[in-house]
Amino acid sequence: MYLFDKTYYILRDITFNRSMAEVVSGVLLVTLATCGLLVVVGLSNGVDKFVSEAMKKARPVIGTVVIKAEKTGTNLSKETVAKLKDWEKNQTMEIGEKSYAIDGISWISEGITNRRYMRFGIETDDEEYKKIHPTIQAIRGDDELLNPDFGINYIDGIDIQHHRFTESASCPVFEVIVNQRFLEKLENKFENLAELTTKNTQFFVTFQQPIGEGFDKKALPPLKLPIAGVIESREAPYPDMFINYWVARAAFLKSPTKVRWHKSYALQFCDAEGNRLLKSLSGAPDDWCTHPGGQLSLSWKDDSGKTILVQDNSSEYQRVGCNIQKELENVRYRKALIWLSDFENADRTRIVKLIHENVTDVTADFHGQSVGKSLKRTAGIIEIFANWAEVGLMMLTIFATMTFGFGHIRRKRQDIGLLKACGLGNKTTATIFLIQIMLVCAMGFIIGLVLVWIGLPLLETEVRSVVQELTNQAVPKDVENLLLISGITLRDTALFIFFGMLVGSIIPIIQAIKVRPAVGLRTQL
Amino acid sequence: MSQAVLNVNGLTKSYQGKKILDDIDFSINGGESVAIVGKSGEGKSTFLNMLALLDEPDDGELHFFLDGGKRQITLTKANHWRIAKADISEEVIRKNIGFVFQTPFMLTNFSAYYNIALPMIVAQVEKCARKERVNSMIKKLGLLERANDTANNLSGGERQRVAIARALVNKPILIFADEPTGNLDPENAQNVLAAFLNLCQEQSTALILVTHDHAIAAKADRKMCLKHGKLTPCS
Repeated sequence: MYLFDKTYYILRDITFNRSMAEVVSGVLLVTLATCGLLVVVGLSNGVDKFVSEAMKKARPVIGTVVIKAEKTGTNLSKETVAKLKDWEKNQTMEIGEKSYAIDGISWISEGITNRRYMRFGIETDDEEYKKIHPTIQAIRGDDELLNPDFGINYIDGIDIQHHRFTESASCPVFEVIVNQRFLEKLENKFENLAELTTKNTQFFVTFQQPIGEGFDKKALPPLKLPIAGVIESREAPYPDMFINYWVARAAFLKSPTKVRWHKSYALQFCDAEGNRLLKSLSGAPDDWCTHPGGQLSLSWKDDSGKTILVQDNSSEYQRVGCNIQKELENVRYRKALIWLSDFENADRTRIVKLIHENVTDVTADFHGQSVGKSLKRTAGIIEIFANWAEVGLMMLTIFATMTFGFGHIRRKRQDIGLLKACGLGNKTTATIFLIQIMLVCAMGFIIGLVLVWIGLPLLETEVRSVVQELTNQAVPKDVENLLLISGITLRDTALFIFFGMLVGSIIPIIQAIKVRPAVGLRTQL
Repeated sequence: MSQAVLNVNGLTKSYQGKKILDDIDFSINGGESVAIVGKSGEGKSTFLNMLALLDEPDDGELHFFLDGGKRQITLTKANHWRIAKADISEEVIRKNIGFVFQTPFMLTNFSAYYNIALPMIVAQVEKCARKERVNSMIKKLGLLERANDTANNLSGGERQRVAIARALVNKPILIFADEPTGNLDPENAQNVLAAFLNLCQEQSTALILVTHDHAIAAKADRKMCLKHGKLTPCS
């Protein structure tokens, strides 16, 4: 049979088939199979990626520190820079005699502020300032800091009067942790602090920037800063952001009972030589703390009333930042965020690396770890299902093809008998009916694909809202259409379907080949 | 004397333990017509199916003599009733064989023209030659007006004429006809049979005709009776 004759026969036979119902039901069967499985494949792959992406994107935390400044700060010693680079390269952080594995180091290339030396109300000279930079903030993998509800938690500016928030490219801009008192001080009143952690709305605080003392003497425009999150500490008596934050960390470390504060405690200030910075503090801070009395005298008690932290001018204060060496041993470091005043070249300012990159153990959640863990487990199950869904798709295609194929061949037995009686060989018979079966299935597949293509975005909206609900965070916009882009790979799916159709056709085709003309002709339907 | 086109030796076929055809020897020459008569259930159609390679015998040998006896093809159980040589396909035999069934089987979705042309399409005859030949058959069998109608829309007589045209279109050396007029009214039967026999004669095609109608059988050159699995000349 010539190719043209074959094509004519195949197409006409399908188009004007007396068993048109069979053809239509075959198309519908494969359409349904395709729709069903593509949706499952799409959803499972999509949700899997969606969740991963959402979780990943939702942990910007320290990595979102925005550094706009380019030319301020002081230099580290070359040795320190080399050391930090080594850490980054080796992904190992050495503290004391211990080494900790880290995924990377985030570099902030600018000084915290120009007035860093005023941070603790201590007048220091430039030399002193050079020493004053926090070198490491290590964040545990399960640190609540990784919770997007908190956002970046770098604290800057003890006193707003001395802190220059600006969008000027020459100054650093940090996100801040604020407390209610701070907000009120800035006349940013929020009835319900919890609202500030709402996932879908970005709140701002407005800073009326003072004419900076020691700056350019110009009134700066009000600065609108996004609130990354709110830390609510019912017991924190000290409104000063930095100390609150710091002390709270220490408090949490010491008393992990009911204080809902960060568990991350490895905040350690060192100088360029690695000496702990706090040792160098002396004198009474008078303008950085609104502590009644204005003295550098803080204390913190746990629930039992036991004083767990005393901060004053004495060495007790050191315990906050320095008496953590022992604790660090139990900390599994994921990342280290390195604040540097500058490198050798001040123009080499880089946006910090995202601290969450490659962090696999993502279970932290503001409300505890249960949601994160269960979501991760669910994502794992979905992932397994996603991996097998395409095999399922193939199996269903095989089933659908076989179902149609058997029916079709049964219906066509008389025609097969006649064709064979006219001399049609087995090979041609097989080719004709294979193409017919696959054509019908391919039609079903294409229709199914179109339907899924149309319908899946609607489902995606649902999935997006569910994931948002589950992950308790806004789903990043740049994972839009994830289901379509990643969930369904057209090529792979088409291959699976094609393979399924091919396998599913085998037995019906063998049946067609085996039809003896005399028997086929006798067949009455 | 014409050359034999088909020789059958020791053809045997059983169904469910019952021997339908029992060691039958048979031969037919080119252009000859043989009528096989017998009661219903004696195995006439089975015998015809075996000869036309539509079904497989249990045992025996079939010898086809093609191209005026220059080429002999032998089919036996040993070679699974298939042609082993690569250069001779089954189509070679099928091209030389035509079949007219009691029920005029058609590809119902296709036109009368297509149904007539089917053996030529299968045999990959060039389109021009095909067209010429099919048109000629259509004219001879009086189907000119119905050629483009689908088989579904043809009457019983027309369908049988289409079937006859289909059987003869390839100019086969041998035609098997199984009660070709069995489903037609007497007048139609008469017309169809006359046309059929004329065409066979015109093309010098050997004809094996199965019928239980002795009047029809009488029109053949030879008359054989099939009884209890044995094929013998009718007395």
